[in-house]
Amino acid sequence: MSRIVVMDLREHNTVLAGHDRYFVLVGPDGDSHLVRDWCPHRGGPLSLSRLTPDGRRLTCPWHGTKVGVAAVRRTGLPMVRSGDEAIVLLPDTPDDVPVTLVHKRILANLPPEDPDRPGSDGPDGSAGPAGPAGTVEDCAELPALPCEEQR
Amino acid sequence: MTIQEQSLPVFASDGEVLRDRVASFAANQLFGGRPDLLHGPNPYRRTLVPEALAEVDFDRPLGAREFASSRALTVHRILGTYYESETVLLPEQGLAGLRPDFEAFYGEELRRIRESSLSDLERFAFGFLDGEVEVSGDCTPEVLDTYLRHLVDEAARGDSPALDAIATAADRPAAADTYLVQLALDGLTEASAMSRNLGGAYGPEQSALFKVFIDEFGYGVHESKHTTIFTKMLGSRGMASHVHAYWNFYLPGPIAINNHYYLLSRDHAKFFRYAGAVAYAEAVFAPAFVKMIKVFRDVFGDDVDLHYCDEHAHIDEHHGRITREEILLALAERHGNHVVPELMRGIAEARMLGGWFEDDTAAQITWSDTIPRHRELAADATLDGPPERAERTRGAAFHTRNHDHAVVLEIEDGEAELVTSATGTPTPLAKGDAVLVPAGRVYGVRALSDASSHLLHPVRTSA
Ligand code: FES
Ligand SMILES: [Fe+2]
Ligand SMILES: [Fe+2]
Repeated sequence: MSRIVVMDLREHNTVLAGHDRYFVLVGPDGDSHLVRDWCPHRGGPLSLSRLTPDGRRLTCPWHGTKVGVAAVRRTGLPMVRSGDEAIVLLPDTPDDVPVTLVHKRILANLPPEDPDRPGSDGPDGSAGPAGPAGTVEDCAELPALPCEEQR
Repeated sequence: MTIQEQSLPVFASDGEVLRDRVASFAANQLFGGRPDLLHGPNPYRRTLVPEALAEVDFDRPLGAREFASSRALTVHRILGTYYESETVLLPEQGLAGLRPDFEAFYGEELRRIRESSLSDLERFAFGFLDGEVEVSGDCTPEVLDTYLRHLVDEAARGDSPALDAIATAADRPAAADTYLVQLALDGLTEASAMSRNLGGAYGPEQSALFKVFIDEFGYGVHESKHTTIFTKMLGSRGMASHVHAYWNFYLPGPIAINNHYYLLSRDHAKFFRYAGAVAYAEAVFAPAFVKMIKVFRDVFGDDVDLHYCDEHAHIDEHHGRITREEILLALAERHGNHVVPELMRGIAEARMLGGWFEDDTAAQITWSDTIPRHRELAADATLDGPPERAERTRGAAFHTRNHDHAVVLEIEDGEAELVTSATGTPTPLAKGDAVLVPAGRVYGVRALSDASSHLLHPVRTSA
C-alpha cells in the first residue's frame, strides 16, 4: 500500500519512513532523486558520502566502498517534482508507519572531492550544485554486495 | 631521537601494601568459587583463589618472560576483574536474585580497594614493558608505516602455534574448544576496552575509531554485534556463552593480552601506544581468522557456526586499513614525529602479547591432549625435594592453578579427577596415580571420593 508524501524541497531533503531513510540526491543536471540512505555494504549513510573525482561514484564514509551513482539512483522512490514541491510515493508503507520530513546535511551533493585534498569539506551541501557532468557508470544492483571496495 | 616513557619506580607504595589491598579484594565472598567447573550465569562471581595470593611476592614485579607463571595467572585474574568492574555487566536472565552480588561487585567497598591499588597492580603486572620494548633512532611516519607493514606481513605469512596444535591434536574437538575458550574472554565483552578511547576531543582520528567501534557494535543491531555472533559460535558447539562461564580455564597469556588493552585504554597517557596496538591487532585479525576458519572447518565440517570468523575475516580488512591510515598514520602526521616511537611501541607490545596468547594456548592444548603420555613421564621424572601437599573434599569449591616449574602430581589418598580443559573429559586418578604437570600448565583437581589428597613433587628440570 503506497503512501503519498508531499515535500517542500526548500525545507526538506530527507524522508524518514519507519526504519528507512531516503535523501534527495541531486544529479549533475540538477535532476533530483529520492534515494535510500543506505550503503549496500553495511548500510552506511550514503548521504554523508562524497563523489569521486570523476563524479561517477559515491565513496561511503564507513568503509570506503565506492557505489555507482547510477546504482544509487535506481533505489529512488517514485517522485514527481514541480518547482520546489515534490510528491513522493512510498511503496508498501502502512498508515501506522511514522513518516517524517527533515532537513539534513547531504555531502553527496557537494562537488567531487579534490583528490589533492583528501578530507576537504565544503559548506552545507544540501542544495548542492551539480559536479562536472560525466557518464554514470553502471554498477551492481542495490541492494547487493559492494560493487567495488576501496583497494 | 629516542622518546620513551620515563622509567618510574615500580611502586609508589611498597609490595606489602599492595598485597594487603589485593588480598582484601580477593577475600570478598564473590570470589571464593563454587564446586562446578564452569561459572554459572552470574558475571559478578569469579574464582580468584585468595590462597594463591599468599605465594605472590609483590615486591618483585612480573618479568617479561614469565607470562605463564603462577603469579601471572593469579595477578592477571585479579587485574582483569578490576577492569571489568569498570564495565557494565548484567546477567541475561535478569538481575533478580543477583542484586546483592551486583551491589557487592560494583559497591563502594570493592571500588575503594580497586581505586587504591589499580595503578600499583598495573605497574606490577606490566611495568616490565618499559624495559622490554624500546624504540630508538629517527622514527618518522614512513618508518612507522614500513614497520607495521613488515609485522603484518610476517603475521600473515607465519603460522599459528595454537591453530597448529588443534590440527595435530588427537582430540581435535576438545582442542578447538580450548581455543574458543581463550577467545571468549575478549569475545564476550568485545571492544569494551576500545570504548574507553571514544570520549574526549581528538579530531578526525576520533571519528575514525568510532567507525571501527560501530562495526564492533553491529550498528546498534544487537543480532549483528560481535559479542552476539561470538555467543552463537559458542552455542553451535554446545558451549555456554555467558560472562564468564569459562573463567577457570582462561590462561594467563590470553588474560594478559586482554588486560593490556585495558591498561592502554584506561590511562590516556598511553593513548599513542593504544593506537599502535589496535592498528596491529586489527591488521592481523583478518588473516588470522581466515586460518581459524580453515582449521575449524576441518575439525567440525558444517557443525559449527563460524559467522563470527567470517565477519572478522571481512570487516577487519577494513579495520586494518582504517586504523592504519586514518588513526595511526594520521596521528603521526598531525602530532609529529615525537609521538611515533610510542605508536611503534604499542605495535611491538601488541605483537609480543599476541605471541603469548599463541604459545600459552598451544602449550595447554598439547598438554591436555597428551595426559596418558604425561603419566608415563611422571614415572620417569627425577623428583627434587619435598612435595607440597593439597587436600580436596567432594563438593568443595573448584579452582585451577599452575606452577612455575614442572611438578609430578601424585594422588596420595582417595580418588580424584584431573581437569585440564573446559570441555574435555577429566582424567580419573586413583591413589598412587601420577601425572607430570609441565611449567605453566593450568589444571584443577576435584575429589571423586569424599576426600582426596595429592602431592606436588618438584621435578629436577634437567630430566
Ligand atoms: S557501509 Fe558503506 S562501505 Fe561499509
Ligand atoms: Fe570484532
Ligand atoms: Fe575489528
